[in-house]
Amino acid sequence: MVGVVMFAIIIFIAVFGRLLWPVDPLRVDILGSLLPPSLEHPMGTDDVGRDVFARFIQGAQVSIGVAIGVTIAGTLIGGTLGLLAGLVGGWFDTIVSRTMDAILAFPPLILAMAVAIGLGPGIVSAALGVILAAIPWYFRLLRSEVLRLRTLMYVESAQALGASSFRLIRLHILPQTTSTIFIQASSVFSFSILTLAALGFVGLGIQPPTPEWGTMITEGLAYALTGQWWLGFFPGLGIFMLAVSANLIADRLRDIYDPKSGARLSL
Amino acid sequence: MSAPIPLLDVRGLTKRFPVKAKPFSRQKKFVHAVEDVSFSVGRGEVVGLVGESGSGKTTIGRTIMRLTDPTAGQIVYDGTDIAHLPRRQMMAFRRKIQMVFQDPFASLNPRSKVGELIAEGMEIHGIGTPAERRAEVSRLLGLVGLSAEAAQRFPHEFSGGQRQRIGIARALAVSPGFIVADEPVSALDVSVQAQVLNLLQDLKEQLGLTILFIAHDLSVVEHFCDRVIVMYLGRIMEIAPRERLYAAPKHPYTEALLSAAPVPDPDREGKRIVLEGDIPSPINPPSGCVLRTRCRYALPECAQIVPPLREIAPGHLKACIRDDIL
Repeated sequence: MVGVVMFAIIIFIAVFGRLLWPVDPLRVDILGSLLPPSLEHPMGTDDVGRDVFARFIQGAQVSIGVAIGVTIAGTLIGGTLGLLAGLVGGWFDTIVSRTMDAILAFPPLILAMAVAIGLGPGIVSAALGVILAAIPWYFRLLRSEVLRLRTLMYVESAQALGASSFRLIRLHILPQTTSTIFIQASSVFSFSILTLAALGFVGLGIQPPTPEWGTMITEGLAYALTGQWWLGFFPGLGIFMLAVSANLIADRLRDIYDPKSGARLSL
Repeated sequence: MSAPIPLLDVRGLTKRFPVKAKPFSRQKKFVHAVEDVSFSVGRGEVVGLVGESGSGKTTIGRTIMRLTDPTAGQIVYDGTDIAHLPRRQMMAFRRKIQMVFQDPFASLNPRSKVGELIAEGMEIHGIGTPAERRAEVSRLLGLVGLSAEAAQRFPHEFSGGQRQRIGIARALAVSPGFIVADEPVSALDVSVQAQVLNLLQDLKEQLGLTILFIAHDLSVVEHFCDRVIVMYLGRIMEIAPRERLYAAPKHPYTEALLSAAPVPDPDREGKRIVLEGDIPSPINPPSGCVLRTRCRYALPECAQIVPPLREIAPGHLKACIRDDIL
């Protein structure tokens, strides 16, 4: 419930923020720089007088958009590979599994950074780095789920009835993995929010002047010491709310997807 | 009791599972789950397949269902060897041979409604229209003693016995002629076991089914089967018509199994024959007769040759070299 409300607030801001707060996030106003939060500037202004709330809105759009893309791409690529490896087995499984192990040998943040540096700083390379780091997680999860489910008796009983591999996956294996996928997807979602922010923080993500939460925190860091806390605080709050609410929602989804827990769609 | 042409004829069935060899070891090791097993089941017959866990009885059932491929041997169903049939041709036989699974809690997909579960086989084989299938599901539910409204509910809303009835209806939906019942009552309470057994008995008579009934103790099989096959460590020890097997077992292993079954009579002083030691490893089974390490009648010769299954009376076969016992 709390998670849904928090998530909904951020999404609402990202989607409708520009309509309700039509201020240009790039408009510089040197005279109005470093103003504390007020009615005119709900989150204050930064060192060159840009409205922090307008930048926060666009930062939310960028972060959420990229995180959704990363999550979907990671799910599709990693999930499909895991499904195939679990079903086909043999040399295909060995090759893909070892490749995934190799990827997992790198700490995810370092890996994402390496890709971002290698391809040149920017939003696309940052996103690709995070996707690459997320693929092995889905792969491992789906592969082990398929291996486990394949030996379940009701999968076997469908096999005894003559069900094809495609039918087994569609009706008896994939539906059982949806909750696992959702939980994994939500943690990948918050991971990519955090990692994109971290890449932005060290200057490898989205390049200025496009506002991005991680970059905004870096810019605000210097001013936090001199008392202008609002520069870094609000983007940090956005990251926090988004990551926490995604995890809360995942927990709730798991309960709903479990037919044995009486919980139904009453979030 | 067996019909002139058996419905199912298993010949020399062998199943070995490879075991991971130790590194650098050349020798490949196998679990000898089923070794050279031959038996037949006549049309309309109920044959019990009895053995301890690890005796290979479930592997035989799974192999007949082609849930696992045999290492060697033939499985002839109604004149066709199905042991190595490709998937496409096997489909026709999947309709004719169906299985009732041991654990009614694990063998029903918890996310499917009972109606969907029962209709699944008809769907796979393209039998009837959706409306006809729904009607058939209601009929099948009635046949196994459940109400038609059960189709709209989920498996976890039912008790173990009711679930096993659902499992039976699911198997019957494709109108098979042959049922492999893999310990269908061993997961159930004793009070419910009898109900499910009676149901199977009724269905067998109504539908003219042939059943291979897998069980781990002789008492369940006693009231249900025409013939009994006793297995130990992947091999058949004895095959006999029910009355003969229970009255006069001819194999030391059957004798020990029967003496272990509880008799509901407090005054009867049953002499119990205890098989000494544990069941040997199927990776490295004893030479010659697999029972010899635990058999109280064992002779030195028992280690030399694998005793062939031979007929000692009409329909009564045993795999033991000694005729001077029992």
